[in-house]
Amino acid sequence: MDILRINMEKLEYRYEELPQDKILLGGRALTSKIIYEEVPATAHPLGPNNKLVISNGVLTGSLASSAERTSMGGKSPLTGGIKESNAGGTVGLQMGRLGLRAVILEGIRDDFKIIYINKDGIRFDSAGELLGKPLSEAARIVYDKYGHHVGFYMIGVSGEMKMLTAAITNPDKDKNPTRFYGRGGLGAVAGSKGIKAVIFDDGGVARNKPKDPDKFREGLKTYSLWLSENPGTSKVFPELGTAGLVKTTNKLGALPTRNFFTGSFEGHLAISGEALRETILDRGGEGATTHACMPGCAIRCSNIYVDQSGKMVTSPIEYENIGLLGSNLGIDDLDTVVELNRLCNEFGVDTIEVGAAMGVAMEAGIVAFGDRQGAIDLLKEVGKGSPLGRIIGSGAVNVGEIYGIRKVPAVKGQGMPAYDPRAIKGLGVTYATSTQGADHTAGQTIRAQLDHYSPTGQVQASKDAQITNMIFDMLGLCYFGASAVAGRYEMIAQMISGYVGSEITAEGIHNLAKETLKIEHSFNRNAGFTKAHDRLPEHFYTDENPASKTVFDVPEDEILTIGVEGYR
Amino acid sequence: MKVYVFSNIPGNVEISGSYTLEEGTTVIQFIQTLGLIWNRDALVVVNEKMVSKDDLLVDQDQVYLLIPILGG
Repeated sequence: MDILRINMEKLEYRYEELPQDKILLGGRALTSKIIYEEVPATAHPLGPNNKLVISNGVLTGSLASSAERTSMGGKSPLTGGIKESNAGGTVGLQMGRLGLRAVILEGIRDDFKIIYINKDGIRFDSAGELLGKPLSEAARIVYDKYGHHVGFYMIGVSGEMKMLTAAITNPDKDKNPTRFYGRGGLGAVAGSKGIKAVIFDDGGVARNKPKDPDKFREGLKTYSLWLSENPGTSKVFPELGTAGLVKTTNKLGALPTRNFFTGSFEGHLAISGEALRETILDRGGEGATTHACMPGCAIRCSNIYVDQSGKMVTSPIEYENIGLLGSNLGIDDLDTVVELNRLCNEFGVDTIEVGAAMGVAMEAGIVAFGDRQGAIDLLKEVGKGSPLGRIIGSGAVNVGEIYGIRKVPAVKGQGMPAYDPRAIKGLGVTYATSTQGADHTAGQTIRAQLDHYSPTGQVQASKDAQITNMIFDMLGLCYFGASAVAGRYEMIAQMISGYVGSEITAEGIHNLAKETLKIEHSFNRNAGFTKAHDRLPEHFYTDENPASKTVFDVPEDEILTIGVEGYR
Repeated sequence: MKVYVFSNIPGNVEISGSYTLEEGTTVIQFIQTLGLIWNRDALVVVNEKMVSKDDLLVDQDQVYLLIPILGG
């Protein structure tokens, strides 16, 4: 496996052999290690000293179920700290086939290029014909020009404008460019480097093979069995997708409603996973209630939403999108939520951050909560790049500062995902202490059968979850499989050892995860973060969530033990 | 005593309904009689409160079995 280093200012590149000390590093572990070693913590995120690192997980390319995830890393323009964002899709598989564990993108430029990579090397093409276009149209142009077998990373118009909500996408197995590295504005980092798209053409390249096939197959067999036996991965996700959570969070008082004023939404049934499934089934046509975003995924949590005539609108519709673009905006209509989701996908922005930003904008009275057309029109401003669109495209915190709104659901500059931290307090601890800002995938605790309203035990729950999430992020495994794996990492270690040909144990995996968290906190300390940043916004400590009848009251001294100054 | 179960978990929706139990039945005992594995197959809420496995059920309790997955 190699690392490909590309300098965008000079349009030069070189291949470097993956050092032996990094052979077991992948995904978030590798992006964060490289960022820590090579990017000054004080670098401007959009300047020449920041780097964008793409890394496959250690198991990406192995074709194990749900293992094709890839990470993007850099210094975030949204949070000012270290950032990793990962996604499923197909491009990691192609990147791996080309022998690449990681790609490091350096330098900045003002014009936009397409980087074309195949087995013979690299070419830099002009991106002119892709600029300013919706991502679905830009993807069609790429497929027509480079062939329908290629994979790619691409930014939308938001990334071209270097918006703080800008994401990076890659296609699912049906060539829909809707698998986003959403969080933290890494699309703006790509934009600052003049990277419109990175295309991987694995034509003429054989698929990767495990170094020790017998050992790998034995581990894979057990892992696949776990996925098929666990009700969550074998029944719930395939039937309802992540949207199955709507009723759960609504019951717990954690479904963000009207800019996180409360955690229960009177219109939640209309935007629930069950309503989503029924709508897709009723409309038929191109719709699908279950769908795999990456080849061979057994969980199949994705879906394809269709209009009244059965024509595809977008894919997938997930819980976070429903929470942030639905209940958080007071919108109880699936077609509107899906249209908002589609527009985010076309502009290439993070649905969570934009949903949070629009919630703050509604609090400011720019559009009324529940105004469906008003929300759509407001979001269209982002695509136009109008002054108002750029404000929304700058994320929730900036909207709040510009319009004088103090109740902004964000930590370290990043908008909260769709869980009210007063009702799921372990997640509140994760929001406060994560190196990533408010991020449910940095340490998800809702799955645990513990009293989510109690302040007791939440720090330990978050600490454990942050390590679990890190393990999945560095291996390229989808964390939706976490309940099936249930901490049994011995078999995962066997899969890794068999795949890469280098021995690792369950304890070794655990230690790598902890070491990566230490590195990330260290970067953030060097970037100027202190314990003052490890807090939720003030109103979550004082204003009761009417649905859960709780405030966030986990003791601060306990929280700080796992924050930027306390994590050891 | 009688308790009422509400489930929207795919594969287990049909277990919704009323159940007659012995006094002194714990949450985990009841969950197991439903064929579910504790802390895996459901998030269990009784009368609007997340419960512990050894909590006792009482007459007229409303037991909500919520989908135990992670959002995305």
